[in-house]
Amino acid sequence: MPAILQYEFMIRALIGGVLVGGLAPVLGTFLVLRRFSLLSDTLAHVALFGVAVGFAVNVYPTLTTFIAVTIAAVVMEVLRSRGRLPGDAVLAVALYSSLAAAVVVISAAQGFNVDLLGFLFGSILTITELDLWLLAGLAFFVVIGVTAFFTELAQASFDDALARVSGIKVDWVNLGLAVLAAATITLAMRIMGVLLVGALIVIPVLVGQGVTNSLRTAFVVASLVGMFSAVTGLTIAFYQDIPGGGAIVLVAVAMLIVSMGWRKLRRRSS
Amino acid sequence: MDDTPAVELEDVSYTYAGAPAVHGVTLRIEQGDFTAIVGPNGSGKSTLLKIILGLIKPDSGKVRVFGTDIEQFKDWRRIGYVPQVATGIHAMFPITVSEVVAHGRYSGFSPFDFWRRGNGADVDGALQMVDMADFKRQRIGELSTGQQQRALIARALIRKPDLLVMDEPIAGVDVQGGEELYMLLRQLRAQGVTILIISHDMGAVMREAGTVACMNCTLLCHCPPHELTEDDLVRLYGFPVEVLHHGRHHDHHAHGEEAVRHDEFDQVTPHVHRN
Repeated sequence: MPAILQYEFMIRALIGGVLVGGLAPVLGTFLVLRRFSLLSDTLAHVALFGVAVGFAVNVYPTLTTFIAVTIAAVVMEVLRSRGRLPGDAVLAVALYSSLAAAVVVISAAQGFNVDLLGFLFGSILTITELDLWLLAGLAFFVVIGVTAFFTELAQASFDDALARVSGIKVDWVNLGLAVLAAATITLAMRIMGVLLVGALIVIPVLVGQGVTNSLRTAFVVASLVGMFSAVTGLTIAFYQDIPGGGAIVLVAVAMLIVSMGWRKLRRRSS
Repeated sequence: MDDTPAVELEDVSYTYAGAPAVHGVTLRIEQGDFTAIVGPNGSGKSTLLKIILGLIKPDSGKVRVFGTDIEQFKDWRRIGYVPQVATGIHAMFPITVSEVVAHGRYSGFSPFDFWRRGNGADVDGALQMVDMADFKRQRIGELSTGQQQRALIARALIRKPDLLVMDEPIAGVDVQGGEELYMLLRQLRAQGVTILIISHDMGAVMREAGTVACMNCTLLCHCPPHELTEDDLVRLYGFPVEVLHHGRHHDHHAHGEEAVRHDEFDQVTPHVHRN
């Protein structure tokens, strides 16, 4: 048996990596298509605030994080859809205000001992069995939800007005997507870290978009790229003793570069 | 086909950024009619179309489609919409022409839609109607604006709509493509489809439409094209406009009225010229 599989924490990390790697690009596909990629990054910063509050009030941080991120996702979606503020301005305001609030809470609660670097960059040692069960439940829920509402999500991402005139309740679709993105980021953050979780939501999607013309195929390719990046990245991280989140993202970036080269070659040959 | 109008607006007004975009518009479009909305840029044509489709809620007035208030309207399958593709669809959006057209089949939540492929005889048929069958597996964002427009028309046609709404359908389409589109619209109209378009192509509007709605924030006139006077066009565009008349004749059928035979207006121009 390879050394990596002799450690229980690594088995948990690999299972979590496969779940997060497959899950993040599923939702990322629709965020990237709407040119709303930075939503994931903003929500990740809100997640840091949620973690800080969880430790400050001594409540399971995943719960406080999920509540904070969900509220932020819904508020941002409402502000964006009603045109109160431009989409990028909404993201910027939410990102900086949540980061500022997190810094204040962390500073005010000097007494709690938080491995802040672990939350910022991810830590494979922190994944618990409960995290895995939550991830597995979320993955099941997301796969069922996204495949069932695939047409609605695809049409709303392609053209908002066309989708509405087809009879799709676009506002509900967008809210549902925001809540699922919030849940995914909350759980993925344990492995990827606040600063890098957005990368796993966006980069595999770009690989999928580059190698196929079909939305369904791009969606599946993105998910497979996410899983492959997670397993390969965690393996490299284990043997090279480097942070898992960073290794996963670098593998995904390498795949993006390869896919861009492949696409260029394919265009030349055709 | 019953007597209920396809579209009915009653004193509809909408203000955008403090300025009236649409003011006091009352308009009735009968089923089976071909109505063209014309007017200068910024005259509220697209806004009016969005109000009719329920995409914008008017500040006041009533909007009914097939006799139902647009806010209560549920039978979206009866409406085909072709938006303006002015800037084109993003090239990186991974969606094939046939997937876009298949989206037009949507008629409500269907949990197994993901597993249905974007192909089918209806998709092929709609693509053939707009001469796009050879492009079905291509990414729509990599096609020309005119081809994208035709794909979106196919998406609307697959719905077999009773009301086809098009925002500048020949923008970016070449002359031949434009003529083919109008030929298609004639066939659809013969089948009883109500057609509502926005167009800047006055020659085609005069030739093809059953009625013309002249918009410049308010509805200046709504009548068959041959009843449009030069004064109407001056009021619409704000400068002297006259019509080039050619020798051919053309019949218009305005919502069930007897055919009216009149000169064909081929072009609107600031100069007077008669052949």
